[in-house]
Amino acid sequence: MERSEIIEKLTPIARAIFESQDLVLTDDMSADNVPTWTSLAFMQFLTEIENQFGFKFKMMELFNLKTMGNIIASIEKHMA
Amino acid sequence: MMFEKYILKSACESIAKYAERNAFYIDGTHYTYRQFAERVSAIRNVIRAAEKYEQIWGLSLHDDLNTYASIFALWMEGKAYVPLHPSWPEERIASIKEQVGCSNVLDACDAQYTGDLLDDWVEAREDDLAYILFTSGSTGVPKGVQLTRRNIAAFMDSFWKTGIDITPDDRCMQVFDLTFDVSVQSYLVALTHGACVYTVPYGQVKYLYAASLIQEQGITFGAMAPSMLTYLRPYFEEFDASSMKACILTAEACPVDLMEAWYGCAKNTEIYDFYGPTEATIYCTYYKLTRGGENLSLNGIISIGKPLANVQAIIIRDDGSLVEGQEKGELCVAGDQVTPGYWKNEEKNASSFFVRDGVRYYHTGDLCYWHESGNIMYSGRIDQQAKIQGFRVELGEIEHHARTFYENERRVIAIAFQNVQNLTEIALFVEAQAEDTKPLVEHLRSKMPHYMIPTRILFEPTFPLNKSEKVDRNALKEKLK
Repeated sequence: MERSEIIEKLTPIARAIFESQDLVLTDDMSADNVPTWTSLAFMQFLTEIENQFGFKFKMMELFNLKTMGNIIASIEKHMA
Repeated sequence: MMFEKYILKSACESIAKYAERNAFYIDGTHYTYRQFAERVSAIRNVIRAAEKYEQIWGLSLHDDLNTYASIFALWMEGKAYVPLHPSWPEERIASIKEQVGCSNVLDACDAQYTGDLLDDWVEAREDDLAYILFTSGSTGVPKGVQLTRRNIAAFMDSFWKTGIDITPDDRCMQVFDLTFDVSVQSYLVALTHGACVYTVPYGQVKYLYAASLIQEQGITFGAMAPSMLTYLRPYFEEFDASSMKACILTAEACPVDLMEAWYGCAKNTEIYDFYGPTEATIYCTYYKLTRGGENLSLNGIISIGKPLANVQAIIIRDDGSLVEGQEKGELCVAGDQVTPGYWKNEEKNASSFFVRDGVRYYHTGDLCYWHESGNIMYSGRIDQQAKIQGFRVELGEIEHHARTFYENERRVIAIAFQNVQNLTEIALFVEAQAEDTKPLVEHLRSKMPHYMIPTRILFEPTFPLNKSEKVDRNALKEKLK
């Protein structure tokens, strides 16, 4: 799956979970700069990614998912 | 002097005995007790040099060595602090500073260490304040809980009497926001016993960072909120927490099935459920769970156990008389851990505390009963309060700010509910036709910390009423299912 396809599929999920209809995904987005990126929202985000892309993250992988860029890269790896 | 014995003297002994051992692990960097002591000394000089004498100082909270050193520096100078979080709305910080009347604020104090290590302390009275924690207030104004040196020392004495032992080899986790009092337990038990404190940096997803600390740094002791484990539960099969020798679950009701699952990861761990309002200094009761055994629970929630050594507990009826047998009533607590009262709030002090047979008690607002074993069973709140990520939230405060936004022209109701993951969220109902919620959310964000912002906002053209013509909260709550 191409990065652009991933971003296209991920954007509506992120917009719904982080409650921002005009959110444009950038690699540096994180809990540091998105106010609605709370523990609860992040957990929901991960669950939704797993459901929509059809794979399951490993816990060790989650430790490195600190930014949107990390998340996109991880999805790319799973979907390769 | 108990505070000196349990806190100042013990921390100074850690510094003297373990100077080259690690006191902190913050955002990937270790700091030794010597480095900690140098920061404390440098900041004490800043406090001494302050132009304006003030007994209570503001402390801007960061996840850094200077913030922890500032707490000890203020205590060693005989002063108290009031925590101010940089992420709070400016209005809230200004309101707290004004209420307390403090103009001196330590904010990321990086004063140069001059080589003059200060290992003595200024004498202070046991009834002098150690800190004031501001919690949600139903009138829209945060209320300050005053904690004295006596309160903290009595807590430490109680804590050690539970049998939990910390040694200089321990790696203790500190996951809580410094505005929340479990953080005080988390760093004090480590620093007074020469152990190392592992913190969670800002801007991290807390439950994941905590899991990585446990697994990668081999954490041996830590307090956590049960919701953190709920988030991690889908990954329990891969989670190795066998380094933990003791784990405290606190700040929220503790589900028994979650604990049983947690035992599978925490293979060598003693698990404790600790309960307590800020007004009784961090914790006032505890229950030690039994691995593979029968753990006392009510509606799937583990018992909050028995009072700590310096806490007296009673359960009373509405008329103030003691309950009998397993009758439910309000849990009230007394003893040296109980706050002298709310900061300059006579009305609240008159309603929250009472004297019975010469003993002063605090109304916890928690509905409980005595189990025949002498343990206390928790059955929910009496009032409109909720715990969100461990923070105590007055639903009335959220309603107040929402009503103000609508200039008191609309009715609003805030309701705490359990989501499908069994975590507490807040919904706000507004009596109106549906409209864009953005301006309302922005207004709420300018008034309250992030954890108080409702995660769901629902519009109802007309609120349902119950038989006594009041808004039927239960009917609204049903709509959330």
